Amino acid sequence: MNGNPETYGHSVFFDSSACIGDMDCLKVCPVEAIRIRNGKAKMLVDKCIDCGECVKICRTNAIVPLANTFSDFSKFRYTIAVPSLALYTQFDRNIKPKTILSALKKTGFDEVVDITNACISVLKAINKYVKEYKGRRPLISSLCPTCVKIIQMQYPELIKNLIPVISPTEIAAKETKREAAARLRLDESKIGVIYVTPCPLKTVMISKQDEKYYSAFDGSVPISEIYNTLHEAIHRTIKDNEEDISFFDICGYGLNLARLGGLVYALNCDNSITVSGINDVLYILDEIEKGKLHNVDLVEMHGCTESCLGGPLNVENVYMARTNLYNLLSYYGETKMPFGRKDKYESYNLIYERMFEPEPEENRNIDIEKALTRRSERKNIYLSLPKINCGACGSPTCRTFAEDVVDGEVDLDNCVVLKAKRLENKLKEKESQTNNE
Amino acid sequence: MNNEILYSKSFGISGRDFINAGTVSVKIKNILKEIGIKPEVVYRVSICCYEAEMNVVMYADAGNLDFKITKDEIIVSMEDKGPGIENIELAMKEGYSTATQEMREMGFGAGLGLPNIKNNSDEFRIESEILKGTKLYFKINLN
Repeated sequence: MNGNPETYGHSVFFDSSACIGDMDCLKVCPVEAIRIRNGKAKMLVDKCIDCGECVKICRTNAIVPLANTFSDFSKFRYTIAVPSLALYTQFDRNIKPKTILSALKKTGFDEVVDITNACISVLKAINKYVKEYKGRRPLISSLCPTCVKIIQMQYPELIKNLIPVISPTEIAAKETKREAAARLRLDESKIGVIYVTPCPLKTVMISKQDEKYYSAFDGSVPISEIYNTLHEAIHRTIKDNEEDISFFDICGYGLNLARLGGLVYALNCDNSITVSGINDVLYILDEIEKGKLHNVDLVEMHGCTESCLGGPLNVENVYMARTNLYNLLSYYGETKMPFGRKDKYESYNLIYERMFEPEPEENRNIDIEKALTRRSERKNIYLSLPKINCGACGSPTCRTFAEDVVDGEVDLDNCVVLKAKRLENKLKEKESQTNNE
Repeated sequence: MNNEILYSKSFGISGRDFINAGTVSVKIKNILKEIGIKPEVVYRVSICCYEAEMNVVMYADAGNLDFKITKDEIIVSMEDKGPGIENIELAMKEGYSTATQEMREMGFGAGLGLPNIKNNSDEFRIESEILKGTKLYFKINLN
């Protein structure tokens, strides 16, 4: 599916042969980026924020996450897998991260890296940044790429509030690659670092790197794609009892970053809020924009409910995954942030000023007169509509339908309510005519 | 330059109404986004309007914000009934604020309001009369 034009450069693929044109995705999209045209779902490329809500709701698997396949990685001489913490929560509670990591290696990677230590380094860096920050509050966590993207696209004035600290996965990927290159005397381009991810947006960001966005990853595999193979490998690993586990140095406390509220908890930041789920995120961003949260220090924000455990590319349901995570946390039993622990990435610069830039759709100069005329046209059409937001026209709301009509995308006749009314009036006219005769 | 006003709207702001504080600037931002104004301009206008609005909410009894769009610029004028500003030069200094402890506890009064408007606008004027009120006027170029 890679590079298929129907992906529009986004993280999902609309398979029109599987689409039955129901309105689930239309209704669930938080930014109104889906339309149903000719009975099939269609994406508005400029509006999509890659949150994955449509993937989660689609019953016919017509909206599929874009994924690299294993064969895509054959061009690399040496492959390194860096799994998201969410991977540790996808299996039975008795299966521990070390087993999962060694099994992951068996599925065909030359090296596998755990990121819990990088999590600690990142937590320390964020802690430092939050403590020293003097600017306008609240600070907003930047761990969730969906939230960052929403802010870049729709709330550019809040970019300054984002904590400009690199993510644990990125720093782990970057350093592992550098180390491997030095150790194997290989050029970095021959080494493929692959992210095992629950996040559709991260997938597309990695595949679409440009001068504005750099990632240390060379590809990604959704957890759902690797799940079956990995599951089998895990059981083989347990059966053979040949775990090559000594290699993995897992810092249990780092797992806190996988849970909702984990950042706030780890930083011991009591003047803070945690928000998850795309609609709640949008609501809280509106509140911040209105200045309502000026007295809060930190807002931890995740586009998916329950943070990355709720990622659309996971297999285990989010509540089971949460229980698994909590079991892991108590298994490692680390209850205090290990500030004293020797820090692998301490010497690296994890804070980047100007890390995030606004993402304007297109920097065009508009003709203000025309734009205002269009706006009043939209308003007039909207006023004539039933305003019941039924979605039968294929646009999610009457307001978006009015926009689509003015943009010439659809005909006003697509509104079934207006059409029914018109027919009714015609019928009445005819009746009164016959009565008069 | 064509100064014909293509769009105008007026908003009332109530002093010390912290429940609705910030809503006028969000409304303006939404109008600009609907029209399709460049994000960068929307950003500057909403920062300026937000600061102007919050000044009324925090210090004045009531205010009125006039918002106009011409072919080339966005013009905002704000008038409030309130205590006025004693020393405008001082009020324009970053970090200077007359906010009460209570307001600071709410996260306001960093002393960045007026300088922020000046920095984000292309033209800025302020007049104030003690015990009567303050008038702000600022313009932001569209292109």
